[in-house]
Amino acid sequence: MGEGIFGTFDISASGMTAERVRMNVIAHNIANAQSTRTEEGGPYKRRVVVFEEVLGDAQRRLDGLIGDVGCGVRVAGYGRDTRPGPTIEMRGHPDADENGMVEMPNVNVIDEMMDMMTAMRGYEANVTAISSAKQMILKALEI
Amino acid sequence: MNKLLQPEALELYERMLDFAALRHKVIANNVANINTPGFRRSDVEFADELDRVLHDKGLKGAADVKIRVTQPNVTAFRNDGNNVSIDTEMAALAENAMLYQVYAQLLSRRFRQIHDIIKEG
Repeated sequence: MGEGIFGTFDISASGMTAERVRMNVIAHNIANAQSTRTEEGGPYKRRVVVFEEVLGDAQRRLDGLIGDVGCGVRVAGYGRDTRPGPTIEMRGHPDADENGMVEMPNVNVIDEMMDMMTAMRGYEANVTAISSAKQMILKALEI
Repeated sequence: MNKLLQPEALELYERMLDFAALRHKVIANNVANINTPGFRRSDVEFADELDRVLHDKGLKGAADVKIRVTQPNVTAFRNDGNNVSIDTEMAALAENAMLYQVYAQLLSRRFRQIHDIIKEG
């Protein structure tokens, strides 16, 4: 963990990594929006990524600083959205039951698209934070 | 001579740079946690305290100014309890980077003044 102003690079990088991981999970959900088979059996269930704040226990203590400074975010784990998916009629489908109904994955492509936009904006915001930090450090070099 | 150099002023600028650097870190942390459920945004308080100390003790008090990291009670407008607003953070980020540059510029000018005094005084 970098010290002083350099620590912000680690913080923003952790944010970028987290958003990128989220993007991967969203892409995986969209790719499997029509998968009716999985290793565990049954249709694909959408994956959800869980983020968690990293607390700054190893922070360099600034003189006269009161309170804690966080140091970024990390992926705490992946979960499964276990809600049932829609059942649609597809006669002749290999996974159809005797009534011709197939349980589809519970992926809603529109929801995924929206999550993708938030992930993208989040990523961009972190990039902006890094650019600002760079500007600040370059200015400090002029002292 | 001592009056002219005013080491306390240098200390004050240094303190303000420290403050802006820390504030940048705190804002970057808010931005990184923009999608963390339940995350509460933090901010840094410095200006009011600085005003008060400068008013009471003058420049000598600069080193005593406490920098306080707080979690302002902003209502979350999202379902996941996260109260970070990307617009507020980006505005704070831009403002803070600008302030840092101002402090750096001020400090740099002070050094140039001292340099001129040594050379030509």
